[in-house]
Amino acid sequence: MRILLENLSKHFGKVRAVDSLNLEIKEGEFLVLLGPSGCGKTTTLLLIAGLYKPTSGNIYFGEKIVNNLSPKDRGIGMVFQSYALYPHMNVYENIAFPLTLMKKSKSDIDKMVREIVKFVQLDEELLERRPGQLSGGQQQRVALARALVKGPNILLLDEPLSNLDAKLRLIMRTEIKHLQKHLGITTILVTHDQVEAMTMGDRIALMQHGKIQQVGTPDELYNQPINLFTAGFIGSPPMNIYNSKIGKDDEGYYVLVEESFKLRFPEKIFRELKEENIFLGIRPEHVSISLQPSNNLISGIVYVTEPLGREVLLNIQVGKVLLKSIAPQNIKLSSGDKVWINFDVNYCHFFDKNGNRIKI
Amino acid sequence: MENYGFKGPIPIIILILICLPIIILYGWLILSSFAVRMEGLKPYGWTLNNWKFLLEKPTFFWQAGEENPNIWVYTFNTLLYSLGITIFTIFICTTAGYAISRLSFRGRRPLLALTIILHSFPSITLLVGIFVVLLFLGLYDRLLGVILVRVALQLPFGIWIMKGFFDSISWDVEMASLVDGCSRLKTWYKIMLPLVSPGILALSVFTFLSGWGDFLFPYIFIPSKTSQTLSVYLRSLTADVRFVDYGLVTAVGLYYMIPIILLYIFAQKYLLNIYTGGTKG
Amino acid sequence: MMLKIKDGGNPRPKKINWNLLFFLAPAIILIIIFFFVPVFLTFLMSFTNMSTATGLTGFKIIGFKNYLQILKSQWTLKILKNTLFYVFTTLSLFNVGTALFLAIFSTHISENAGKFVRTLWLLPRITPSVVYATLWTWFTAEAPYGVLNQFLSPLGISSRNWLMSTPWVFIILINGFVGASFGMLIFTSAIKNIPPDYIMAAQVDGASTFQTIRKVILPMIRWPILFVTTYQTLSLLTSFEYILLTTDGGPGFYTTEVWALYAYHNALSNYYGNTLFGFGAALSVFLVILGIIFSIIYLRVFNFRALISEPKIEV
Repeated sequence: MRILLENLSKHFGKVRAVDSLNLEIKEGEFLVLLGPSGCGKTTTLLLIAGLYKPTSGNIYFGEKIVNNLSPKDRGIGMVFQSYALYPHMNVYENIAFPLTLMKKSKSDIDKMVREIVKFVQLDEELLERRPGQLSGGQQQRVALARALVKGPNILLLDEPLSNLDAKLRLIMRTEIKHLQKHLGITTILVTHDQVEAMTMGDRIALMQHGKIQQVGTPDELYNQPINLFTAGFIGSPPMNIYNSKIGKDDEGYYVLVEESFKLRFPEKIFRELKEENIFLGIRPEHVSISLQPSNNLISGIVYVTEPLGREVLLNIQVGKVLLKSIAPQNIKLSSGDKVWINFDVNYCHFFDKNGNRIKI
Repeated sequence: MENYGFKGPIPIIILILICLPIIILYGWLILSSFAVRMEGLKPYGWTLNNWKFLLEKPTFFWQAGEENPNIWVYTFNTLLYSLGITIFTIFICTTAGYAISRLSFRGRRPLLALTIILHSFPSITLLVGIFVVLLFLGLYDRLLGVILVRVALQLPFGIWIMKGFFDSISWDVEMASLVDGCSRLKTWYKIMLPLVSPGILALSVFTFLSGWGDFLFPYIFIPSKTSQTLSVYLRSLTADVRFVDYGLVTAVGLYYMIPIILLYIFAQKYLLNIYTGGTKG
Repeated sequence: MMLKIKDGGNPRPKKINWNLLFFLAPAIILIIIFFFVPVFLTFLMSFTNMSTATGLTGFKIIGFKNYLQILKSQWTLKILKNTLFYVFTTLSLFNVGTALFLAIFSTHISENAGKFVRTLWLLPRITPSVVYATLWTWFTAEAPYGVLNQFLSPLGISSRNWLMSTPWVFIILINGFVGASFGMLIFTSAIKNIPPDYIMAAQVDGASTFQTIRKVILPMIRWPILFVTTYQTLSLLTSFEYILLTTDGGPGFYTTEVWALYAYHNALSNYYGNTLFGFGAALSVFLVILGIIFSIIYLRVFNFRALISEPKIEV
């Protein structure tokens, strides 16, 4: 089912939780609403679920406006952060609950419950248990089963993974994605975790202050961040972003980073950089390290090293600037060592003083 | 913390001293109901005669010719009275408590403020006004009338308690049930009511106990003998100080207290909750 | 399988919210009939001479005469003094004093002994008032029945009916034994909610148990103490059930009559059979006004805003 949000707003008193949102979610798409807490992503989800009424704007399911439709009539399934299983019912009753409300026959219900239980790989032995007796991962599967059992057109997931431990989160991440592709169900997932968003979504809508900052594929958000917010939010460890100035000396144009060091770029780039004050961004994996002194490279001092297992995150001090670089695991460095740094100029991002991307 | 607190023999002496008056008062009640005659705490001879009221209608020589209903009529009235209050209270407090806690509607804030104000308002001062209202409605001298009065006067407290219980239920669960296909009404009785059952239990026990022990309201508003409750009956036994049969009075008193003591023992956990958590604090 | 989506396009026409009606109507109707109407009636009746003699229809409006009569009555001052004495003494000795003692004592002895003390002291509150009053009338009765005389006669104190000879002592004891449990429970839960870190810190600093109580616990429960004090002031001011059941305002003329009992006697049960609804209402008006003032103060102290959070569902 296609979902269209048209100038959608939700105000709580003076607070604009969702502010003139426009977004289309295509049939069968997996869309992630990503953003820091308080950005309005959950409010947007609750608006789509019908638990909140829009202050203004429209919500379309297919071609129909559903602004005033009750949640029960919207044909949605939803999984909550706390799973929201009914504590006074056992697992079977929990999953069967939506079906009993649809007044299905007992045998139909039984058939459908057992089918969905198999589908979400829930152990049948657990059906008699109370939710309180289940592990987090099992509760998650029950919540999924309950959301899917009635065959909804739309699946809404509100931070479904954030209460799981790290290992289980990886497993469920894969499973939910697989399940979504298998069913082809239009799905909206809300999360604050950019790794979750990148790995699961077909597209990501990044939100801040009730507005969408950027919509696009994970690749687009990562490689072509539209503004400083996206650039800083997506990626871990985060992008290095510096206040910079454009200048010119005998050797030509340069970018002075935090008044600390100069970077030189091909002439054509400077044709696009029209203002003097800009922001320069570069991801840690595009900052490379050399142990050999070189005149072309910038020298710095290792401030602290953070081994990540597969690689090492180096924090290097250059003048007033602290910059992060990803280096191979086998590099032997410790605090205080001198290193030489190379910026991959093809992967530098430029933003104007308002934080908007400058296209090169 | 090992050394913290009162230690040694002095606290034990204090403990005995502060408990003694109450033990004496209630100990006498039990002894006297089985004694032929009591002088102070000293019983003279044991008997079950005091308990004969359970089997036969009491007759008193100062009421020659008058027929007293037997104890079971009073018991039944008392049960009807306290169960009536409990059922009405629970129904109205679970609906209104849910609305104030969970529904969004205009006037929710004033309604909550009103609940808090009435909650601490001394309703006993309204006796005169209520008397006239009951007369006007034709509910004076009828059990239903007193039950409604008692329910109404207890509402702000009960609504407040139930609101607290509803407040503590996660919003996610209620949202889930709405998405699963419930209307608000269905959510209320299929999901929310089972989840606040500890609150319902606590409020029921509390309401039943206070109704069972009620004296002033039945005394003032139901003068007729046939619909009197145990408290009014017991009062009539002690009204004339010259003729008080303490053996009978204590036996009836103890009989009257049995359900209270049982409920108190079995539901103490819930009761203490409601006295402190809910009680007007 | 596709679920059918119902049409929800057009904004709903304004209609009666049946949900709201179902949830709120019973409560609102009862509150109007038994709170608002009686308050209103009490005020109205206080300006009439309504009584058993006039009935509900034959009364006359007499303006402020009832109030003038209250001001002029020789008993008003006596009853006012009684009321203040009763409230102040019971409150300070029992509803706050004993309550505080019981709470502190029972939380500083073994857990089970503490529970036993509190359970026992809650007993008077849940005992039917008629039974409870009987216990005391017997306790204070003449020899050879009364326990008090049995205890005191070895000390050479002559037998008497204590309730009648020293009525105030026993009125205060009778009400106090019931009243203490409210504060006791509130204070106990307040003391139990004090984070143990504070008490451990005081212990590490070398404070004795008594010093800890005085310097740490008492200051930390000053809000509950204030709450119980104000709250119980109001309930004592308006309570009269136990007095009615024991001395009934006597012995003699108005010896232990308090304002609320006086209003009750006049309006609903006087010795001459002709009950004065109008005059009783005028007496009640003072209590009703006090009640309203106190209740509004509570609303302020309660920190109303903190109590109300917005609903998260708008269905």
